[in-house]
Amino acid sequence: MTSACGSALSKEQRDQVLGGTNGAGAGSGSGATGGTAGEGGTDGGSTGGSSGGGSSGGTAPVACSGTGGATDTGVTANSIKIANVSDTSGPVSGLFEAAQQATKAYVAYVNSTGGVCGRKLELLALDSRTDSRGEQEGTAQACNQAFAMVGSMSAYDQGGAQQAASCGIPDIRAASVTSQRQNVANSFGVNSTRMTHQPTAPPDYFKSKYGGATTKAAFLYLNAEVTKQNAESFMKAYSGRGFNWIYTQSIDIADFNYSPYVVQMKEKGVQYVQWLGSGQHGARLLQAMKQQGYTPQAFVMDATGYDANFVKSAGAAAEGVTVFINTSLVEEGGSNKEQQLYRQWLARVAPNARPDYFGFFAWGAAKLFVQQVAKAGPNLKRSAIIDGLKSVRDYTADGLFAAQDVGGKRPSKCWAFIKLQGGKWVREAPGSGYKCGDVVGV
Amino acid sequence: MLSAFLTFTVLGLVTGAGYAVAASGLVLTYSTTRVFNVGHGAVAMLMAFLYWELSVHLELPVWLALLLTVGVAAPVLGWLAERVMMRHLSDAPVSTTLVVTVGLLVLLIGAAQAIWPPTARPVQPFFNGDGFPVGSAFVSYHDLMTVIAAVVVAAALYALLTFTRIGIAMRATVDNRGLLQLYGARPSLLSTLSWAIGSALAALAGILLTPVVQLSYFDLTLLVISSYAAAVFGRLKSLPWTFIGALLLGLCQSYAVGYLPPSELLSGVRAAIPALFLFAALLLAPQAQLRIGQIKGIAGVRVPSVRKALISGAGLIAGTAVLAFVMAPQHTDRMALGFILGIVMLSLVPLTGYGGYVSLTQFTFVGIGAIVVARLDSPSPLTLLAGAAAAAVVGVLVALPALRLQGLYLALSTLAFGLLMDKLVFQADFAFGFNGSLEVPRLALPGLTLDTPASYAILSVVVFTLVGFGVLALRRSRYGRILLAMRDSPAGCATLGLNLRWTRVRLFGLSAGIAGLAGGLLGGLNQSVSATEFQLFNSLPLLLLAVVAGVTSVSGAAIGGMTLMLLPVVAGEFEALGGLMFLLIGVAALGLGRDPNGVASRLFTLGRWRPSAKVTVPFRRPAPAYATGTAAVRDVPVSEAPVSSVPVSATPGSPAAEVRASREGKW
Repeated sequence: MTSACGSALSKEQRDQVLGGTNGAGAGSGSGATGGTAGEGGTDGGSTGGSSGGGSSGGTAPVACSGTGGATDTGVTANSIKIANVSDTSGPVSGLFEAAQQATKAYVAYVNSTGGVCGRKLELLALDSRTDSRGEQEGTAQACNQAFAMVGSMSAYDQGGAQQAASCGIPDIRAASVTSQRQNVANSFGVNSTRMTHQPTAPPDYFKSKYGGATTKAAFLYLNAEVTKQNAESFMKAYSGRGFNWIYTQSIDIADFNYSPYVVQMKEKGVQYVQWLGSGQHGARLLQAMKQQGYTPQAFVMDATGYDANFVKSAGAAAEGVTVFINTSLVEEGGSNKEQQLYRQWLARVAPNARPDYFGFFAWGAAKLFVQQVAKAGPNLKRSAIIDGLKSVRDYTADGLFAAQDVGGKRPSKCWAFIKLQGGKWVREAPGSGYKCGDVVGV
Repeated sequence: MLSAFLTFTVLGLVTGAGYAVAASGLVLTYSTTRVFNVGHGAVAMLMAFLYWELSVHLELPVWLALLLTVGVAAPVLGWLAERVMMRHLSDAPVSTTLVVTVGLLVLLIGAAQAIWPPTARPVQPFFNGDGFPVGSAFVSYHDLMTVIAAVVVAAALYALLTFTRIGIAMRATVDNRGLLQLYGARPSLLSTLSWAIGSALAALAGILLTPVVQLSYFDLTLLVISSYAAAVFGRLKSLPWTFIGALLLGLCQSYAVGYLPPSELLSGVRAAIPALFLFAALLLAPQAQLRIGQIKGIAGVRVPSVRKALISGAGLIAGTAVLAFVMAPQHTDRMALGFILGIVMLSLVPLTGYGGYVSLTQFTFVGIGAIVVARLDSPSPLTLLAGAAAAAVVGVLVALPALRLQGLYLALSTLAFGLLMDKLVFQADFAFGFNGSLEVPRLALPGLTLDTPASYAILSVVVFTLVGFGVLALRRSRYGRILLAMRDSPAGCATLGLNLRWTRVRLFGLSAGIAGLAGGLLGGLNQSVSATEFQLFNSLPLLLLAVVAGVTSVSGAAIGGMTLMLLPVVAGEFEALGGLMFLLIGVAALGLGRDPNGVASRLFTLGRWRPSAKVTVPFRRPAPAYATGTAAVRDVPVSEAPVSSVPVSATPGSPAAEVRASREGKW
């Protein structure tokens, strides 16, 4: 892109930014940091996965030899203003701050290479305050001042859904949490979750691994809006793949003694336990299980478990927990160039920040945005970005995560499975890359 | 089967012991100071963090960390709380005591957030989780310790309050402080002792429960709210009954897990057990006796004349309209939100400001209005009225079973209602639906578009002004005077033949209706509403700011609404100030919470060039008519407002005197 505009970038640098032909990255396996947790019931980003390796989703840009001036809101001859609206304050302080930091990091990186088609990126970092009102305000401000929203992540993103839909701003999010936001035509989640669809790879893997235990399965979840609905979606999908839920239980956020639930599972002979909810409450359940001497064959969580705070809270009780995840692993990041780039620039903009699950997707969102801007050329319009996004399939951000069907808004099909052993996450399956399946409607 | 029953019984007893430890301190504080400490859970939380700091971070021996926390820090905190905030609150209205303790809760949460930023801080149980099997359950030594602590605390406190001189003196401070002083006791010292012991017990509860709950700013507070049911079961004075109530609560929850089928509806019932228990305990509690022999007139703010109100209202609308077109859209939207929250504050003016009743769940009624407007899915302004009407009906329904309740019990019944709504109704599909949130269409008026931030801001201020006019008209009316009289002296009104119960029912309906109206407007502003916006916890800062700003005036409601709107904005934009905001509000509440006229009354007196003409009319002490009642003698200052011709024996300008004047045909 910038080299297409005449600046002197090496091929490698250009490929890095555009996601050219080195793609794959997924084949090298990877590491991701934990999900977000927090106290409430945000969905830990289920679904998704793409075939390992394969295309990164980037395409060669349209050559642009000029900037085109002020072509749309937030665009000038020299700059493109983008907004990131994420939960950085509120009852759980810093809930999705990693998404904003990752976007900052990518902006800093792109600007260091000269920007996009002669325009530098300006980031308008806004706080949605972990409430729908804050999300709405942030989106409204973005609509008025920015060209696009990039890398945003909010637990109550339905707050800004109406605003985003009415102003038509391209909204490339780390993930869309609520169905209202998922249904907005111009909002795209790079972690392309969708409540009405679930991937088959995780249930198929667990069924093949744990066999009969999945016929004596329990699903426990935190009784909080989005989590509740995601839980139903999970259970339906897994039932369709042969799971038999003999015990399902929502747990109120004010409950503090989980031992009765554990005793129930013991009484019923549950062998497979799946938890959906915050890592803190998951840790509480694991500790109750440890205290009661209950050790099922499997305890499974989504990417919410891949979080340092969860591991710290649960301690030894979390030993053996399995997590299904659709990003690279931090533990395997040495061979993943995109991850190294992310971490390198994250350290520059936020020295104390850790790489994070949603940070990966926010970085990927910023990368995708830049690709689309380059593709749109100098006459930059919001509609062009949106049209470009609709055709993005199998996007991996150069192997940072499994291929995501961003344009189709379908969960990714490919997942990796990791286990906590000795306090460390180790890859369980596959040996590298991801296991892939299909996506089913629920 | 028997084994399973035994198992769930044991687990229920362990849960109940946790509640008992939490509730005991609460009961002690109330029975010896007449202050229901809403911040009790926050004290437990703060002390738990301190214990972690000492035992884990600084690696002090466990016994030393325990001693320093429970034996030193907690009593000092209790002493400070009593000395700075709670002294002389025993005779204060329920609204004052609740607001001051809510201020304490906010203050402590802010302090914890500022001192210990969010990160995982695991706390191991005592004895490393070792224990022994009971049936098919495993009981750890830590659990056993919790049960033993609950028994010992209940027994020790019972013995202290019943069989020791100092304990009897502690109880006597709330019965007859003056008489106690005549006998040579020092009520202030006794009050301090009560708070110190109460805080120590809160610390103990926090330390024992943290390995289960883990350190978090809100979970322990929520847990203690669940234990209110046990405290009320003990009628806030009997420790043995509190202990029994706590065990029953724990058993109910455990059996519910064990024996209720895990359907979605029943999971809501399971979650609502503490609230149902609290409601039942309140309704079955003996009726509180009317305290007679005292009139405590609260000097209110001056009521503006109709002309002045109209001019002020017009000025407010004009000023808002100008700002709406000048400010950036997001600021205009915030202004609209400020006025909508101001309408919610206005709903508290007749209820709390005039009537003296406390609602700990006003946002619930806002939520009802929002749900109705969302479900009607129409831009017609009639949906607002429908939302208000639905909320009003629910308000009446809440007030009806609570007719026999007064004061604190009535306030707690609103809390129980709020919890029930959170757990049962707001989680249901017919309420907020599949996602826990609903879309709301923007209102449309004939010939007017309200799609822009400016237009909606103007709509909001117009509605606020109209509701404000209505509240002022209420204040000037006969019904308003009855409310004020009812607040000042329920006994006096009863002897005059006024029907307090139906007056209260109408008042709750009116207040809920105004809140419901605000809910409809809020939905239209955001164009979506979610269940979390209307949870019980959000009603506490609402009440706090309403009183701090001034719950007796329309201006106070406007200030309160704008402040409530600005809080998260400031906290978000100035991260360093985030926890500090909680601290400031807590401090403001502690200082201003005693005066329901709040900041507004201070602003009214700004710029006055001559002092108020205060006339002091001493009250003759009436003959004691009730063995445990207190006949208060007060010099009630009177404002310079013209005094109607009322008998000298009544305090000029007081609502009681106005009622008496009305009875003499002077309305």
